[in-house]
Amino acid sequence: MTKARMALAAGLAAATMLAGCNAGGEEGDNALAGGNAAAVAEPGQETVAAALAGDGDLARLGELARNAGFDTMLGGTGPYTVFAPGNEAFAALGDERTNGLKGEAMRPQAIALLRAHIVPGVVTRRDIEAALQRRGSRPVTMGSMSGSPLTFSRDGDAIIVTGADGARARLVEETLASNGAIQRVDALLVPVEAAGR
Amino acid sequence: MRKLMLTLGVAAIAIAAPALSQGRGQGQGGGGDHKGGGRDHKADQGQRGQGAGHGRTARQGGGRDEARGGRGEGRGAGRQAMRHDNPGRGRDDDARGRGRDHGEDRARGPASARAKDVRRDVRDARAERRGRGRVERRAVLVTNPGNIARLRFAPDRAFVRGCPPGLARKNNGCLPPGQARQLLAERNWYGSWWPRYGDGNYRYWNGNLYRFEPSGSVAGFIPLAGGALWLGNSWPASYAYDPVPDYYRDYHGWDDAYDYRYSDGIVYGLDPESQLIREVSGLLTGDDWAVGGRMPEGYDIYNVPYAYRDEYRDTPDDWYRYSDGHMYRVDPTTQLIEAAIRLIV
Repeated sequence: MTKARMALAAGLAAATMLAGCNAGGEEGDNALAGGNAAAVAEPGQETVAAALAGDGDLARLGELARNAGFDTMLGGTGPYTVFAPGNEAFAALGDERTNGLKGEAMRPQAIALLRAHIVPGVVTRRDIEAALQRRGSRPVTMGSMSGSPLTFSRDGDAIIVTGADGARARLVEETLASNGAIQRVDALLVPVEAAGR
Repeated sequence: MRKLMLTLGVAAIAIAAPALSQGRGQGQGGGGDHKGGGRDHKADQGQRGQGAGHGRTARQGGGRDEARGGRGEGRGAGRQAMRHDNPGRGRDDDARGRGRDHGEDRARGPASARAKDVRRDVRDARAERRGRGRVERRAVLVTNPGNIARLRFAPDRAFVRGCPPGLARKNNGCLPPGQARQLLAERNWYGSWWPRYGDGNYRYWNGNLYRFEPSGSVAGFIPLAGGALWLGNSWPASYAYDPVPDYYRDYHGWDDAYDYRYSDGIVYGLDPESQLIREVSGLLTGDDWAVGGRMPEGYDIYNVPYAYRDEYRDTPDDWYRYSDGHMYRVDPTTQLIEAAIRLIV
């Protein structure tokens, strides 16, 4: 498992961009013109499923994923990237609703929540940085497996991800798994208040 | 170095195109519209591909025009090339040339004969695949976009008009007396967690998501993953699904012991005897990636799997995006999809 704290990832991204600019030739062209010369990423040994199960900070999400029967999928070929709310993010739901999501009666809700936090393919922090740079730091979007978009933007050094209904979270930490990636976020990307309809 | 890359790229192209035809029975020889193939990528085993050839170099070689002008179905040559497929051994000219010749011959045959050939090829491919025990993971440009096996998300198909099994239509729709009124009175905590279904007044109850008419009566329902669609349950009789093409099964390594059904972005594995749901096998976007069409929304960020990142990088001329077991080459300016790339052979 390759794990990188946010500051480290940002530093690496900046260094890579700088290297790309200085390299000249095709690589330099790619980096300067908004390509992703930093595209190559080294996957870890664990699958997304195993990494979720082994990370105590993501225990709540990991339990929901297991209850939802997602173990096979997240342990398979993939690739999927999970924007994984840490345990603390579930506080916004409250204990009663969070515990309810673990039960059979609310399994469909748990699956809906999970789908809203998963995107297709491997998305690294560098990839998001590169997309934002290409857009001049205007927001960029990635469709989630629930069908709703996740929108990424900058707030100083931080990368903010926003769900379709306005739920916002910061990218905290990155885990590159063998079959995808986990981007830990500090809040849920679904509305935690009752829908107004 | 650049010339070397071009040469290797063309070699990979020539090998890749017939190899595609082996799997689908309609491969095209003489392809030149490739962005560089790869050699034996084994993404799931962590082995890095050794493929060479960059999209830009291939384009500079004039391959695109050649491909458009000289397409033909190279099924026979494809099978031959597959048997001898040994990337990097210089079989490119041979495979490419024969592919074009056979294609021209086949193109003149009666349509019914061609259809029979295609069916036979599919059966052959399955048999060969079972015999091999595993598929070969490498990137292969799809020269005939009609051969792409795609499962699309169709929101209309997720919605079932009428009542779930066991519930009779009442005055208020399908729900027991008082249930509809109670549901509508409750705080709708999760109504927006299922955004695919669009506007409407949706309420969850007992494994299904119900859509209410403004009058308060039930218009219909959507069986939900984790509820009505869950392990041990039968597939709802009135609920539409798509069978899952072999490509998806092979790409994901889904076990042949199950029947696989796709619905509403999820693939389920069913026991072929009992027809009970046994597995949540995978999530698919169901996005519409049609070569020549516009890239679907929600792919601003590069998301190519690890094994292909060395070769398929975004450049000012080309983007690459992954979706549902394929990669696609996109023009960054027009956002038009230029090519599809299979990830298994």
